[in-house]
Amino acid sequence: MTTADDAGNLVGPVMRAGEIADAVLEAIQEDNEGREVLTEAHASYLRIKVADECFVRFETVGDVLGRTVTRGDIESNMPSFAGFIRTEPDGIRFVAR
Amino acid sequence: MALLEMHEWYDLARDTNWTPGYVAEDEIFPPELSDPFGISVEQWETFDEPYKVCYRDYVETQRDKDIGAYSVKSALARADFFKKASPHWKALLALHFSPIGFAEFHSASAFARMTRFSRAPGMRNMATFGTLDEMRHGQIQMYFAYEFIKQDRVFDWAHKSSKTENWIIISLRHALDDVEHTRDAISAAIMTNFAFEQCFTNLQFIGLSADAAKAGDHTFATMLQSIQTDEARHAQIGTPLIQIMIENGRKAEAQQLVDVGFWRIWKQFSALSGISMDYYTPLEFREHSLKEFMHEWVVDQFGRNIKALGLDLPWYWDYFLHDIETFHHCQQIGIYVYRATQWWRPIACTSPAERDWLEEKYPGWNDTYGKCWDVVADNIREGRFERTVPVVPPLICNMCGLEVTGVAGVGRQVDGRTWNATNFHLDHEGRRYHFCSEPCKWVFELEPARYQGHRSIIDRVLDGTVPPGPDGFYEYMGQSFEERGVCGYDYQWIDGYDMPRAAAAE
Ligand SMILES: [Fe+2]
Ligand SMILES: [Fe+2]
Repeated sequence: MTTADDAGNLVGPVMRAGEIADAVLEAIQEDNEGREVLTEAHASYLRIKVADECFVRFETVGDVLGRTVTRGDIESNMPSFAGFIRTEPDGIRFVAR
Repeated sequence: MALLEMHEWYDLARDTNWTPGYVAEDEIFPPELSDPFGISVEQWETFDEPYKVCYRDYVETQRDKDIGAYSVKSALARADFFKKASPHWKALLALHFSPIGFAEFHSASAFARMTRFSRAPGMRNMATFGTLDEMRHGQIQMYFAYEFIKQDRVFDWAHKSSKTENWIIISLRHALDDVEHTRDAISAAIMTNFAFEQCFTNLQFIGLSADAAKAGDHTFATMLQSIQTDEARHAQIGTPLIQIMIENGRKAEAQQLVDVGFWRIWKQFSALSGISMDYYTPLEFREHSLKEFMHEWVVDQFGRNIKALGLDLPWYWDYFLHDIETFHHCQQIGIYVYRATQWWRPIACTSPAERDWLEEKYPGWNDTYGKCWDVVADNIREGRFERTVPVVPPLICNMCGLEVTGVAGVGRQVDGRTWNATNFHLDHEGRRYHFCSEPCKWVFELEPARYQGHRSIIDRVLDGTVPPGPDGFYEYMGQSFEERGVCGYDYQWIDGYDMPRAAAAE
């Protein structure tokens, strides 16, 4: 059984399964270089997890998809996230505290 | 002229506090509605929205979300999903849409009060969008449920339920009134945005969407997640509030608000999500059990947030972990045997294969809850249908409004097993109050004056509020004869759902 302590400090978005989720995952791998990116796929959603801090840059997601991506495009496909969120001009940051 | 980027003007535009010249500050922001904690306005002005949105972006994003959800609905309408859905899925949809749609619409008023009375400009911003979000959640769910009415009148209750005195609605309303609608803006926001929306909504709106996707109900799955994308944003109101409370010496108060809000909402979701995930979802489509989803979304994801913010896990955490595995199994039995008191068609969901699944997910299920179902099944097999409905009314908890039940693993040992209906009671000002659990009793004891006037459905029967006779009872609850629940499988479940009655008779 997991407890609140075991979960560690993995943070990151929970994305609705689909094209945007895959692009966000790819972007996170690129924007958080050198850090391990874990995923957990469920029937309708994808958990993306990075230790302590995770950044997703709109432009990187846009590069993956080949079109402009805004905060709204991410929000529309992000029903939840682990950790705390900070919206920034060029992306969204998830932090453990 | 090029438009400025949002971050270039946001902080300036947000600064909407000023010193009133014609009326006293307290008349605009009465402490009992704005801040009973006496925190200075300078401190509230430090509220920094973790999730910043401007109106132009908001409208554009929400429009796209609606286009997404409504287009999935219209594309799939031709598939006639509902007509072909099993009684399992129909019960699940009824259980979701009937209590939730209007409850969300009412949430708009809670957010509007935060918008009006909070002294933190940043919070007022976020709560404005939250108000609009909750209107959307009311409307989209009402609209999606409306489609089913022509095939099943149960869905009338998506609109009707909140105006009735049905016992389930009394239970839900009492919890939501307590948490969202009858406190100052700060307390209501800590309870609603943090204790409720940062954890339990994920369960029903993301966890259940996984089951819906597996079941091929993509309209429902998309709608659920679309709603939750709003919740993920406006739920963030709670985080800076708790930080400001702690920094200003109000940790104990914040902790208590979280502990009360969390417990009250857990009880509701235990029944709602617990029965949906562990019983009403057809076996082949179950992504996880309630317990597994609870560990993912609440124990892990939310439990970490509580501690990271500098609060403690609620004092009843160990009991709560036990409750995750027990309470909803008891409620499912109660919902089925008292089925006429519900407006939908409850189902048992205890075919041999489903029992195996329950035993695997909740070891010991067969030896405890399973024994109750054996008795129900035997009575059906012998044609003693009247014996499948208890003659005595249940004992209802004076806090959560749900049935006081035996909880496996807690209480006195009987025949080598612990299974004991434990009634936690309290005598207060000449009246005895009954509770299902220690935390429900604890909530009452914190503020007896707040809760003592509330009467459960059973209190109303005993004091004559409910007219005598069985019809009086159902009419009081808003249920015409056609609106009283009957077994969704017409008792065929005892032989396993795959065996039609005619074949079984041969
Ligand atoms: Fe909502
Ligand atoms: Fe209770």
